[in-house]
Amino acid sequence: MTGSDGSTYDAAELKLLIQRSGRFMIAPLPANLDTHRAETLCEIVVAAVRAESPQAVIFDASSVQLMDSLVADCLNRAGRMIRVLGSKAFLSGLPPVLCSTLVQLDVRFPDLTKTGNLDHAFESASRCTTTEDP
Amino acid sequence: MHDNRRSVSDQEVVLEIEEESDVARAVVAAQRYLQDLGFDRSRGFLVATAVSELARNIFVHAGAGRITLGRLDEDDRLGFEVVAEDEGPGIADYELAFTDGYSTGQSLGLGLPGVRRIMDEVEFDASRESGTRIAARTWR
Repeated sequence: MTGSDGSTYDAAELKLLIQRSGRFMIAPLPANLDTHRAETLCEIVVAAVRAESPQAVIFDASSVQLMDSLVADCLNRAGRMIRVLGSKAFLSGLPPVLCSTLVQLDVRFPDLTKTGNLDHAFESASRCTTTEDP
Repeated sequence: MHDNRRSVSDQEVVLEIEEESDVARAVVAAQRYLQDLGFDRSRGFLVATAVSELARNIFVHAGAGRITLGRLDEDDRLGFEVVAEDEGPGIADYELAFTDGYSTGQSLGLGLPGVRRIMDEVEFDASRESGTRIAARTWR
């Protein structure tokens, strides 16, 4: 499969991006996140959550330069599925230019907890996964 | 549609939108075009996102169409124009389509209002019985 920038990638390569760190799973979002990459990665992440039951998944957006509303929708749906599966879902490290785009598009991520960076995401994930849900 | 009689350079780039991957290619082409025009990086990403929304609307609602990227020269200012055209069912109510949250497709329905916020000018031809033509412009 060829991405929008001409680079080739497949599901196996995207799967390699996902890392496990203790109770948490980190899914770095690639730069130039087009719809194909977003959908494939989200499918892989949801399958991994189902298989491994991490307490939280952190989507790291620090490398993402451009995101349109459909890609944002894909992340939102992944966040909802992750929550249905019993894990928490985080979105961390949105670059300023991307924040500006998302505000202009009026995109929100109601099922993803936003943090400024991975450290904050880990801190938040640790807090909410050691606190009993009401 | 208004005729602003702006000079559009011969350096137009026309991209056919026939497959979903063409949307992403239009985005990459827009980024390069904007960079060549001297738009700063941040603005380039924002405008390329608007191109993405327009191209995606073509694919989702019409199945096929085209995106035209062009340079604008007016007086002493330089600009960028994107025109999205298709022969699909058209837009019955443009004001509704540009309203946040409205959607007839599979997306969030946030594309056109976002385009209007990102770009300096957006024009459409509401008199068309079928097909869609939306032109959006921004100035450097």
